[in-house]
Amino acid sequence: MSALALALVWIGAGVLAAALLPRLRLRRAAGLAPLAAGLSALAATRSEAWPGPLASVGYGGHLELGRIGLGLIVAGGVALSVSLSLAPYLDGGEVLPACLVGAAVVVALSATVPLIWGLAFAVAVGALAVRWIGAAPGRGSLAAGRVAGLGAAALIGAATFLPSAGPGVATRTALAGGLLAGGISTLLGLLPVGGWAAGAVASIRGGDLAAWGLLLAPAVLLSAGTAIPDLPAGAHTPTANVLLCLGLASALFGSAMAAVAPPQERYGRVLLADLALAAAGLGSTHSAGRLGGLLIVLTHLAAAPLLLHPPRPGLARPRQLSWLALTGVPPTPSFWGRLLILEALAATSGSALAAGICAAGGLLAGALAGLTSAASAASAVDDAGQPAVATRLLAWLVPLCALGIGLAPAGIAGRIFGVDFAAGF
Amino acid sequence: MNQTLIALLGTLGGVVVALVDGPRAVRVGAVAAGLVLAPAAASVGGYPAALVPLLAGIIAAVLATAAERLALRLRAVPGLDPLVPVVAPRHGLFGPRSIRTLGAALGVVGASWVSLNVEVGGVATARGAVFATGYLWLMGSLRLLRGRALEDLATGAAAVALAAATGWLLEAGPGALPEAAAAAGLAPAAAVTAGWLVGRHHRRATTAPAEDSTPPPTAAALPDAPAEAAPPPGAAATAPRPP
Repeated sequence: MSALALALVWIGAGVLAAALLPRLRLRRAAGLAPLAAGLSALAATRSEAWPGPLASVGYGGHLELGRIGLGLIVAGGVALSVSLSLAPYLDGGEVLPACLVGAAVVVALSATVPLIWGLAFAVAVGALAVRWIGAAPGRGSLAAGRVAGLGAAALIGAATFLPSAGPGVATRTALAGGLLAGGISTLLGLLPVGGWAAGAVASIRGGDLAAWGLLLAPAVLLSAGTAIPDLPAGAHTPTANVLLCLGLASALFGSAMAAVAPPQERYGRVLLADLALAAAGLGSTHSAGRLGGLLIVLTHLAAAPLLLHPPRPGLARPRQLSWLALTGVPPTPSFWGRLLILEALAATSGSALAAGICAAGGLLAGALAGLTSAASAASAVDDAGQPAVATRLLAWLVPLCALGIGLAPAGIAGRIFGVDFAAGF
Repeated sequence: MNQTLIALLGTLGGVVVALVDGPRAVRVGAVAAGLVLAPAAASVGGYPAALVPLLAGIIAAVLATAAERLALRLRAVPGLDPLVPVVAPRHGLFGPRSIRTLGAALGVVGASWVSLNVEVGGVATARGAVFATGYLWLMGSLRLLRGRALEDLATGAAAVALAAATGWLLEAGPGALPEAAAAAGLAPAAAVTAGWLVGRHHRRATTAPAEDSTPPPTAAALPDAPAEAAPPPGAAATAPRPP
């Protein structure tokens, strides 16, 4: 199956689920669509190394799904499916935009032309914006359409200038690098324009937010990690520096906010701070930073399906264990991811390392606060109505997977993303 | 075509994209952008290249109209009206379009800078085409940034898509028609989405006036909605209804 066919499978699954499930009164089965589409990626034709969105300097590019993209699509599809299955409420409209985002991510992670890469992210942002504004109209959801849409437009604009950007710091190269850095940092919710993401995690329900947190943001991160090393020097250095500085500032701010945020917003803040730390790791341009970003992404793919949703009776213990996986205490998976990023920051500069350590400390405080609030919620609500056995089993699967990753991070992440942690990438 | 004329056409099209409002804004914006970008694309790729933005703009208008009419015929579904501002409008000092007018004026400076300082593709003399493309991209981004309703965002997305397609043609030449056509395809997609939602909402307004008197279902209004899903103050519940 080609990458284009895989994208069509995602769209078809979303359309079918959106059209049929509400009529059959099976809204709760919405998770089957991303699960089927994600697993169908295993049948896709893939290349061992995705050449990246800047590969086709001669234009006329084609779609080529690499191993790393395949891993994200499969793991993201499964995580999205679990997230939808664990959502306390589904109105039936979540699945179509989520599957459209999945299709766009397939195209973005197999694009070999920067225009198609940026265009795929624009489609994903558009699908999310329409859904978010319809589901929770307000400043938070409107900002997602405005600012994230502008970020996608910046990536599209950068595409025009990227192919012939030269090694020197010419006007054209600087413009390409600036637009690229602006687009990536906007879509990842980095400061100073990342307020839209903070507003979204505060106002959008978990079932709707999952497509951004589990598919779109990781895809931006992974594809940027592949694209940035291929940039000409004149655009590479400023882009990396912008991601490093904005990533560290956002990680510091996000981790502080995670520590003091109300319980229902805390996980979103931790996710934003971790994504920012991963972006800083990319900006360090060291291999360890990119590998750490992969582990951070994998950790949240495992933990987010449960923590994106508000506490429910009977699921407090799994939530506690999921928060534990995010503390950064060894041997949790977040520890290994943050350690690798700190290693990359140490190789960059002492001040970057200091900022990274502060951010990791803030994330630890935020995760511990989440753990504490989950414990208090456990004693308060556990005697209320219990969810179905299948839901509880699924909820237990989430923290077990998350903690299991920490026991063999290199092996599991290498198996999923096809990356050799010993050799780097 | 004369590059000065192409730049002038681009300015006119950009102003239309920046200022057009109402239920047909996406269609008008897409057609205007396609019309003024066609000469810019033709300056490097000839008639085949000119057809990309032109056809995309026209197809966007046609498909949006078809989607709206189709939605009018289907069963009423509650949902989002793309014409209603998501948040309450602020009264601009010189009217609702004052910021966009200012942005359109400043955009001329920005696009001029790009056309004079950045060489796109191998045609160093196509300054007017680069200006027109850059100006349309800036005006599309302005619509995105200043958007208050989904219609605004769709208008901006259509303009950005057509400008990106033309920019790619300027950069890569006529050999890049498939990628440019794919990029231009975002304009019909945005227009169809807006047209569909407009039709669906109008259907709802004409067949179920009592239902329309309630705001669209927000997260807070749902029976078991979590507390964090409540929209912030000033959200659509307070937004003005269409006449």
